[in-house]
Amino acid sequence: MLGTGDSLLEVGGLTSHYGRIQALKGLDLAVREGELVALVGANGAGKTTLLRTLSGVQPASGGRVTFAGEDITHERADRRVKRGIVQVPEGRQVFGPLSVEDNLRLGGYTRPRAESDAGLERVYAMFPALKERRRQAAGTLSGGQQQMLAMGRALMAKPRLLLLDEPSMGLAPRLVEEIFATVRSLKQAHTTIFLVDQNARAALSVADRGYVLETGRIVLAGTGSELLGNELVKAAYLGL
Amino acid sequence: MSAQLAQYLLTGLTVGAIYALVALGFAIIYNASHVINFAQGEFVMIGGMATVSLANAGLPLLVAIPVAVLTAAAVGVALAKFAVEPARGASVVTLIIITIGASILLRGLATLVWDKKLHALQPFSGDQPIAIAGATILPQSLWVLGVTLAIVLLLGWFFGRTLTGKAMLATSHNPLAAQLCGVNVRFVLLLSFGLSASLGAIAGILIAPITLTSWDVGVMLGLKGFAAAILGGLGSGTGAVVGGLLLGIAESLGAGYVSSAYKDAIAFVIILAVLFFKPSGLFGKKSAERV
Ligand SMILES: Nc1ncnc2c1ncn2[C@@H]1O[C@H](COP(=O)(O)OP(=O)(O)O)[C@@H](O)[C@H]1O
Ligand SMILES: [Mg+2]
Repeated sequence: MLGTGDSLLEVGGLTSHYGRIQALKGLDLAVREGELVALVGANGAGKTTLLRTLSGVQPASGGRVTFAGEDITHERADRRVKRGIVQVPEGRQVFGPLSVEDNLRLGGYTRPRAESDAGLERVYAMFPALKERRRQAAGTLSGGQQQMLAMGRALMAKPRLLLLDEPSMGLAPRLVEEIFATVRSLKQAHTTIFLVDQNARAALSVADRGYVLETGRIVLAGTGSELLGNELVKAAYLGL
Repeated sequence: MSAQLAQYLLTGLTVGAIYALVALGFAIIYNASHVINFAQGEFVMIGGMATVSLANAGLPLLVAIPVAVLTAAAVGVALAKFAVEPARGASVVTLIIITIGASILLRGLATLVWDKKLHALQPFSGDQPIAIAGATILPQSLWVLGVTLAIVLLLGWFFGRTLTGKAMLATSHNPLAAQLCGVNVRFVLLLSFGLSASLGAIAGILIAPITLTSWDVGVMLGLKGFAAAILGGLGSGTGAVVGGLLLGIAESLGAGYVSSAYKDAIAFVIILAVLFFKPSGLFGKKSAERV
């Protein structure tokens, strides 16, 4: 089921280290065009490290990452953004002192100006709350609004593969629902998404397929519903 | 206002504008890399000395000045590329020591390329003093004030209106997020050193006709610029300008009303007082990282 030639993203034997600590211990996974793939795993399993390695802000110590058929294992982070690998990082990471609109414009840093103007309108249509606060400093937004800004900023880069790291973390249930509704609508618009979330039930429910990561290794893979029905997943991640 | 006070203020503003340019250089590099670049003063020296030697070789100022600024910018980029960038991940103190080493090296090179003498640069438009409010001002001082004002406006436009400028600000606030937006943070580092070096060089060229220049002129100007940056709040552009002007005026008034023997001490008293009473400076962020 892995490595079917038509995958947009293919990861093989990927390892990554923090000094002597090995955080990724040889991962294999694939994401096909248009798919929504979820990655679930406990705190410290290596989910963020995987996404950071895919974005090139954390070096791979071994293995291979292929995007649209090209080896990008050791490519610079900004080049990967130009290719369309765009990440919404854990903890939102908005540019606090800069305005909402400047944050979004920076999201479109790799795109031509005219495209950026159109992208801005699309993001504002999607998140009207951001439009109302376009001149406000991003740091003054609420947690939910900052998450929307982080998502909007990523969309400005025209992602071919959107990496979402814990988009619902620390948000009230109503906002969590809103974030997942956004993820669903992005999926309907055929955005390819790799989603990491603490909320395993919600993540696996929206996903076509999923992987379970434990201490740097993929221990389970399957369709979203397969994983939701899996006894191990139920016990460890769904609290059943 | 007495003519004497007006005179002190004009002198102070002129010197202060030079400090402001040097302080802006500290701020830009600090923002991009959290490095306090103690080689900043050497860019001031390179600007002045290169212009003098090119002018002596017969080049008109209109050619000599841009060439000197570009030379300093190239030295700045080389410093970032070959000394600061390879040490990425090292502690801030290590990086500071690297810049101190670079400044010693650059001064040594200057004595080899040029010499250890004092040099005069011709004023840009004569030396006929102009009378203002009972005081007099040199045409060169007007150049200093005018060019500084133009640079401050230009920088305001660059950081406030252009995407490249905003990308530099974004990188200083959150380098990880900037990278994830597709900003090449290595390019930002090189650009910040090139830009800071240019500002320093321009300061050195503007002041050379008033104070003379030499291989070691950057030591004191660098420290004054650093004092101004600390006073304004390290990393703040507005702070650098206000800090520079305040320091220049304080020195001028101190020299005029107290004693010129203490002129250089004022900068150091200000550094100590700021670090003691308000470490974030006048315009600094409260959480600013300190060394
Ligand atoms: N900057 C770091 N330095 C050292 N170890 C780290 C660092 N970041 C994460 N780790 C370690 O790597 C492992 C995976 O962390 P992470 O990828 O953040 O997990 P997750 O996102 O699944 O919670 C953990 O054991 C964590 O302690
Ligand atoms: Mg994580």
